[in-house]
Amino acid sequence: MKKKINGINQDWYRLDNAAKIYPAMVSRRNSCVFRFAINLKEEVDPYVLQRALLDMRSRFPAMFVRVRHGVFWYYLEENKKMPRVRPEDSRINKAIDYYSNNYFRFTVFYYENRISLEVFHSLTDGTGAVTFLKALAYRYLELKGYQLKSEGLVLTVDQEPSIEELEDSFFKYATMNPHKRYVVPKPFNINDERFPSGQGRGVINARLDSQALYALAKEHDATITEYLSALLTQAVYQVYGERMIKNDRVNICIPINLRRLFPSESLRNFTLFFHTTVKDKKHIEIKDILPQVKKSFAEGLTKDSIIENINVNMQAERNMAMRLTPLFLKKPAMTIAGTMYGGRLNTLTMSNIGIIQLPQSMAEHVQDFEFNLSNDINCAYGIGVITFNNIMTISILREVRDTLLPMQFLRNLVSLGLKIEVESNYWEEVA
Amino acid sequence: MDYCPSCKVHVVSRGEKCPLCQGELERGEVAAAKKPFPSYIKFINLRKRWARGISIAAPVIIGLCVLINLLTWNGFLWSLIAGVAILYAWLVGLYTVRRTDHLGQKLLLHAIGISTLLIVINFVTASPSMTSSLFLKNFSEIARWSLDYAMPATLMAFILAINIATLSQRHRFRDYIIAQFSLSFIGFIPFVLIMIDVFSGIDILGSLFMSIAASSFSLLTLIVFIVFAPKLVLKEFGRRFHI
Repeated sequence: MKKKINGINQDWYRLDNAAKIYPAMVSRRNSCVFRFAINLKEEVDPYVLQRALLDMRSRFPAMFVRVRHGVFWYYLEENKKMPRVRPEDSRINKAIDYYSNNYFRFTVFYYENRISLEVFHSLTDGTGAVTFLKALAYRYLELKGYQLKSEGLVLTVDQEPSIEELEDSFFKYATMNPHKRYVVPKPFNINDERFPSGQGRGVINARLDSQALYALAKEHDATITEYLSALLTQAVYQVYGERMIKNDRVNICIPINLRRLFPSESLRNFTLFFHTTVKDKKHIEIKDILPQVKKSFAEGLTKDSIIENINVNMQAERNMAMRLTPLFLKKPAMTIAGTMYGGRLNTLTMSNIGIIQLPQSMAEHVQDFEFNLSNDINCAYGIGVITFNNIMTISILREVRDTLLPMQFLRNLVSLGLKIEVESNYWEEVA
Repeated sequence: MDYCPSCKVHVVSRGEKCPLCQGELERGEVAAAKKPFPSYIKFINLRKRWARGISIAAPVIIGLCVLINLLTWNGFLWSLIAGVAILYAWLVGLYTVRRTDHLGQKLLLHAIGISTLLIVINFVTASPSMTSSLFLKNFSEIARWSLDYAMPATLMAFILAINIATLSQRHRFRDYIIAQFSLSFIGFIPFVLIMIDVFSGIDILGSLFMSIAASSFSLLTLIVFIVFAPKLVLKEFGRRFHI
């Protein structure tokens, strides 16, 4: 029953600060599940993949857990059942049916040459999930008989998990300075016709040369994330500008990987969000939008503002009245708070996970990666960006039936001279 | 690879139209063969539909029973038995049949459900034509088999069942412990009735034997677990009650 990790017994975990809200927010419409996929250069063998998945248990103990109800909080408890790999479902990022999933809150799928991982957000964030997927694919290729060297870029099953990987880094880096919650101005929400409830979401993947996009961003003295945010804002104005009223803002929610700012090795959630806000529908050229986006980035990414945001979130968790409120009363309050501070404050969400680095011996077997954000019913679009081997994959996950925004956004990229390949699940035709 | 002349993008996935503008594609020399996502299958959650159907039907049937009972009133409140029985069947359907796990919680709910149903059947059938004031006045005259025998026996049976489950599946101890303790505490209800019966002078119980047995069995269960597995009990309560 007891599991020793570097000499410390660990068979249950408190949910980290960011993870606490997700179990209360889960619904058929809002799965709180995100997805990473790795496309190999050969067809996936499900039997080998199953063996590889079972080997992950000792290396990633905080993934092989179930979410349980406590009297005051949810918590994670070691799950001794066996996770099973499954053929990929056509409905991406659907809510995980944990009864049929042996109570695990992640699922590993296979489809042709692809291994995909869908994870409930209470377990980990994008960095943790992609680390898990890399390790899984590495183990899979090892079991297939390939000679691989990790080069310190992939976690391997012969290593022991460290306490630092399991820590709640929010707790570690929060200070006791109180701060008022930063108020995000209400944005323009895309209220087009949604897909039927529970019938999945539309996906359009666009692949392009990341170096070419980087060169374009550099021309404007911007990072790729800033540049893409500006292009997306521009596309929203071009498509929906006529519908907007005078004071409507375009808010793009950008997750920040806090490990880049704090020396954390945690494989649990350590992500915050900030918003780029643009409010000027008369000037929608990139040269007008980009300075506003860069200003939002500059303000949102300072260490002080991030610590303030962590403190705000921790304040609620530290409040004794809140802590002593039974979970059955806390749950509806968290659901309402999640809705108020969740999707409704975003016109859309974009997350750039960055460049995935793999050891050379493994990279030879990998084609590319995909990253699909978890977006809820109130936020029409979630855009995940991931780069591997100079191929950038922009995955546009949408709740709405029409494809006007992806069309405009990608046409704008094409007009900048980029060569783009697209693929789709054609959800607008079938669902 | 196919190409959309309007969007100026290459289309990798197999499809008749451009996934962006829905326009016609220019076919490449080699047609796009890749199917990047599994085919769409309309998802119908039959389990959820049944659950929703039962959840709507149960209150409607209970309402109808009450209405018919009132309209054809002959002094016999049979709709109360029907109502509790339907609620219990609803519980069985939603919780026992639908969910494949949570044995501890199921045993706990069934113990409560069956005890309640038996008490209702006892008092409705024992006093078919009494008003509530007459019922209380003549309480000591009514046969109270549910309180004397049925409820304590039911509670004992379910405490025994969860004890067997815990001892035979020790690795699942922490799954059962909360239900185990809850059942053991509910097992003290007969003891509370004995105390009321003895000290307040209200004649609730006819026979004390089964009530004493059920209370003793509950106490014994709690003592055994606290004495023989104190660390496990403390640890489980620590995680369940962590703030």
